[in-house]
Amino acid sequence: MDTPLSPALWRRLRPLLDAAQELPAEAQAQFLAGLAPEQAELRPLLERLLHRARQPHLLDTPIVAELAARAAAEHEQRVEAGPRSGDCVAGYRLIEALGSGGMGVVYRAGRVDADFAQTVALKLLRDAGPGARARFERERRILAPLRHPNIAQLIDAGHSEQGEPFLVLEFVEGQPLTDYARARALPLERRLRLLLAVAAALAYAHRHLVIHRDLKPSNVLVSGDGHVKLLDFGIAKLLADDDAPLLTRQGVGPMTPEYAAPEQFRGEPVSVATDVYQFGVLAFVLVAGRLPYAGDPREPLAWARAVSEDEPLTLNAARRRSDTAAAAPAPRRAPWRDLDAVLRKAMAKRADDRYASMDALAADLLAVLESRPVGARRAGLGYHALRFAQRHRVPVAIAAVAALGLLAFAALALQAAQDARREAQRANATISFLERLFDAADPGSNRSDKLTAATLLERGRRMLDADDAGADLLLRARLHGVIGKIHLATNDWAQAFPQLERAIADYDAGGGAAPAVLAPLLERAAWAAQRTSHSVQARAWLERLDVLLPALGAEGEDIAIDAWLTRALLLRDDRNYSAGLAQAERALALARRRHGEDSLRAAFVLGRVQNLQALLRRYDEAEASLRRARAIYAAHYGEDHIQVVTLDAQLATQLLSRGRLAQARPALEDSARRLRAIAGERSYAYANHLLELAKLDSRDGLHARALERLALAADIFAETAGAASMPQTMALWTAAGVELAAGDAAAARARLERVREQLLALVAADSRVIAELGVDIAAAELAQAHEAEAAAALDRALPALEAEPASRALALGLRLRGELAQRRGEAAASWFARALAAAESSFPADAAELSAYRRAARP
Amino acid sequence: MRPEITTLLDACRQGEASARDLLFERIYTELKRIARGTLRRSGPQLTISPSTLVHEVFLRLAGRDEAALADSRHFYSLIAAAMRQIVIDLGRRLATAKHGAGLRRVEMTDGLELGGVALEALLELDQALKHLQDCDAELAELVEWHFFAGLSFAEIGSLRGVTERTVRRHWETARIFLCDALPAGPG
Repeated sequence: MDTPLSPALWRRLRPLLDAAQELPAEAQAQFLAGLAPEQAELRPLLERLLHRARQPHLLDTPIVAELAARAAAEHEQRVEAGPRSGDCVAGYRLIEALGSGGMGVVYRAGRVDADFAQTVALKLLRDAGPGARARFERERRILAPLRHPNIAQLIDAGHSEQGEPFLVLEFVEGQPLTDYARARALPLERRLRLLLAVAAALAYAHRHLVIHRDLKPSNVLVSGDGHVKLLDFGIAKLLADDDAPLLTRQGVGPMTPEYAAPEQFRGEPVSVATDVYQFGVLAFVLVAGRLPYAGDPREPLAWARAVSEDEPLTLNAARRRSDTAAAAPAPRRAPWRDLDAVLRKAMAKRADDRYASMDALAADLLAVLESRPVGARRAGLGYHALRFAQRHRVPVAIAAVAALGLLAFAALALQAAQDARREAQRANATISFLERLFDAADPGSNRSDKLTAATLLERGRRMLDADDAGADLLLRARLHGVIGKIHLATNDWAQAFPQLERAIADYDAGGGAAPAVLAPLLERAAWAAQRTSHSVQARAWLERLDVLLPALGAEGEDIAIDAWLTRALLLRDDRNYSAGLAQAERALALARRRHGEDSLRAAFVLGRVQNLQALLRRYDEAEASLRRARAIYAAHYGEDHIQVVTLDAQLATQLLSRGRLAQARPALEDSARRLRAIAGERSYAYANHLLELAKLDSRDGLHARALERLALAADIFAETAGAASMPQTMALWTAAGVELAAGDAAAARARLERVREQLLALVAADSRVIAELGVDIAAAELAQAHEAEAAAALDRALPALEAEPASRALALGLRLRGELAQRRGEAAASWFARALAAAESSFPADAAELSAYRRAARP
Repeated sequence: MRPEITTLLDACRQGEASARDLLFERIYTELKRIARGTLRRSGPQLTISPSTLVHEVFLRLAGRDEAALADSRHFYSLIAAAMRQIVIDLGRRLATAKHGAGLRRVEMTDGLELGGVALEALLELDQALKHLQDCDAELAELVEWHFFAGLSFAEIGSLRGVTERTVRRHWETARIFLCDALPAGPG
C-alpha cells in the first residue's frame, strides 16, 4: 500500500478519475498529460490509480456474497444446535439449551469443578453486534448488586474461551406468572399474594436505583412451590446512570407494547412510575385474564392511543370479555371496586397521578386482601362501613338477620348448604374412585389373580395420572395424600415422595387446606423427602410446618415430635451429629411428656437418639438408650417384632463400632437372619444391616464377601430409597473403603469419584460430608503414591473439618504421611505437630501413647 | 415486540445511533432466520441467491409499512452492512479456529469454508472498505450492496434511480480505490 488517500485528497481525485475512466486506455495518458497546473501534482497518483483498474482482484469474484448468505444460514443452524450440552464454557458445564434469542442462547449449566453443585442458567451472547454487547454488559452491572429472594440472582459473569460474553444467573424453574395461575386455576387471593411478591422485588430494585421497565408475565416466573422470581433486567435502567448513551435515551427503547406505559409510547423518560404502571397492567391481566384496554396491541398506533387516552376497563367488564380459564376464580363478594381503584391508580396516564412507590401500591393491595380500606378509594362513611361489615362478617350478618329477618338468614343457609354439597360431592367422588380401583381389580374384568396393596396403589396412581379423579384439586390432593401415606406405611419412600409432593401442590393450587390437614401431610412428606435424599425440599416443608404447628395445639405436638426427628435425620445426613442429637432429644422430651416414659412413641424416639449418640461415639449412652427402647418394644410387641429385631441389629452394630468384634459377629449374623425373615430380603432395614456385616467382613479380611454384601445393599437401596440416593451412595462409599483395605487403591479411588458425584447432587459442596469424603479420597491417592493429589484433597477438606476432631486428626495424619513419603522433613514436622494436637483432643484415651510418640519424634 | 421499523428508520435518519443498532440487530437476526429457513428447505446445498435473500429480508421487515418501503435505499444499506458483518464474523471465527483458540470452533465451522478466498484478503478488504466509507460513503455503500449482498448493478441502479451503466462506472471507481488501499500483491 502506498500513502493512503485522505478524504480531502479523494475529493479532488474523484472527478479526474471519473473523467479519465470515460476515456479509452490509450487516451488516458494524454488526459493526464493535459491536466491543469494546479492538478499536475495529482498526476502520479492518478497514474497509479488507473493502473489499479487493470489488476485482477478479489472484488471480481462473486463468491463472497454467496458466502455471506451461507454463513448466515450456518450461523443460525449453529446457534440452534448451540454449544452442545456437555461442553464447557469458562468452567461451567452446559447441560441443555433452554432457549435462544436473536443474539444468544440460554443454557442450563453447572460448575465443572463443582465448588457448588447448584444448577445455573448461563446466558451466552453469540456473534452479536455492539448494541447487544452493551446491553449485556448493562444487565450484568445492573444485576450484580441485587440480592433478593424474588429476583433471579446474578452469580457470575465473564467471557468464554472464544471471547463471547456470558452471564450466569440463578436457575429458575418455573412457569410464567399467568400460566402458573391459569394452570392451577388459582383463586383471586392467591394471585394477589403472588403479585405482592412481585411488588416486593420491584420495591427492592427501586431502592437500589434500578427500574425494570419490561414487566410482563414471561419475566415473572413462579416455581412449582409457588415462589416468585423476577427476571430479565436486560433492558432495565439504572436511575443514577449518567453514562447510558444507547439504551436509555428517549425516543426508541425496546419495550413490550402490551405492558408499556404511556410515557414509553411518547418516548419520554422512564422512571419508577413506569414500573408502577407496568405492574398495574400485569396485575390487571392476572386478575381479569386479559389486557386493560379494548384495542389490539398488534396495531401499534391504535394501541398507543388506547394506552395514552382510554380509561382501563373495569375488572368485571374485562372478566366478562376474557377467556374464563385465564381470569381468577373469585368469591362472590370479591372486592372488585377496591381492586379497580388500586389498579387504576397504578395505571394512571400521568406518572404523577400513580402511586409514588411500589411500597405504597403493595400496601393498598394488601389492604384489599385483608378487607381493610384502601388508600386509592376516596374514603366515605358508607365505604368504611362496608369494609367494616366485611371484616366482621359474622356479627354483622347476625345483625342483618335481626334487621331483615328471614331473607338474610336464607342467604346464609344457602351458602352453608352449598358448602355441604361440595363436600358431599367430594366424598362421593372419593368413594367412586375407590370403587373403580377395586372394580378394575375384580377377577372378572382383570386377569391379575392376586389383589395386593401394591397393585391397588399402582392402579390408583395411574387413574390419578389419567385424570380419572376429575379436576377437583382438593379431591386429587386428598387421594395423592392417601396413596403417599400408604406407601410410607410400607417404607416405600421412593413411591411415597412424589405422591405427597403432588398432594401438597394440589392443595396449594386448589386454594390451600386447613392446618389440621396440611400439617400432618407436610410432616410425612418431609420425612419421605429426607428418606429419598430430597433434603432441600424436606427442609422447606419443615419450615412451612413450623408456621402451622402452633395453631394446632396438642395435636400439633405429635406432629412436632416427628418433624423434629426428621430434622435430626437431615442434620445427621449432613454429619452435624450434635445438632441432630439436640433435635432428637427435644423430640424425646416431648414424647415422654405427652405419652409417658414407657410409651411406644418414646421408644421410637429413643431409637433415633441412640443412633446419634452412637455417631458421636457416646457409646455408653447409646447402648443405654437402645436397651431402654428395646425393652419397651418387647413389652408391647413380644420378641419377634420388626422393631425389636431392628434394635437388636443396632445393638450388634454398636458392638462392632466399639471394636468388640468377637461379640459383634454372632450378634450381627443373628439379627441379619431375623431381619431378613421379618422385614424381607429386599427391605431397606436388611440392606442397612448388610452394610454393617460388610464392615465386619472387611475387618476380618473377608474383602470379597464384604463387597458382595455391599453390592446387594446398594442394589436394595437403589430400589427402596432411589438410585444415587444417600443410602445407596453410602453403600458405595463403604465399598470403596473395603477396596482400599483390600489394597485396591485404584478401584477405591474410582469408586470414590462416583460417590463424590452422587453426593454433590445430594448435599451442599461445602458440607462436612464432602470434606470427609475428601479425606478418604486423599487416602486412596496416597495409597497410589499420588502425594500431590492427596495433599490437594486434604487441603480442600480441612477447613470444613474444624468441628470434627477425629476426621481432622485423620486428615492431618494423612497430610503428614504425604510429606514423609516425599521426604520433606521440615514440612512433615509441622504437619506432625498439628496432627498430634488434633489426635490428642479427639482421642483423649490414647493421649498418653501419643505423647510418647511426640517425645520420640523430637529431634 | 420492539419499536416499529418506521420509528427506527426515522430515528436512524436523525442520526440516533441506538436506533441504528437496534435496526441492524433486527436485520441481522432476520437474515439469519430466512437463510436458515432456506437451508432447511433445500438441504445442505444453499439454493437461495444472496440477492433474493436480501430482498426477502427487506420485504419481511418492511411488510406493508409504506414509510419503510419508501425508504428502501436506507434499508438495503443496512441489510448489506449486515451481510458484510456476517461474512467478516465468519472470517474472524475461522481465524480463531486456525490459531487453535478452541477445538470447538473448528467443528462448528465444519463444512463452511471460505470458498477459496484467502481470509487475510477478506479482512484486508474489510479494512479498505472502512477507509472508503470515510472518503466516499456512497461508493462504499455500493460495494456492500454488490460485493457483500450480491445485488446486481441493475438492481442497484433502480434502488438509486440511476442507470446500470452509471452504477458500473461507480463500481470501477470504488474498485480502484480499494485496490489502491490494499497492501501490494494480487488480492
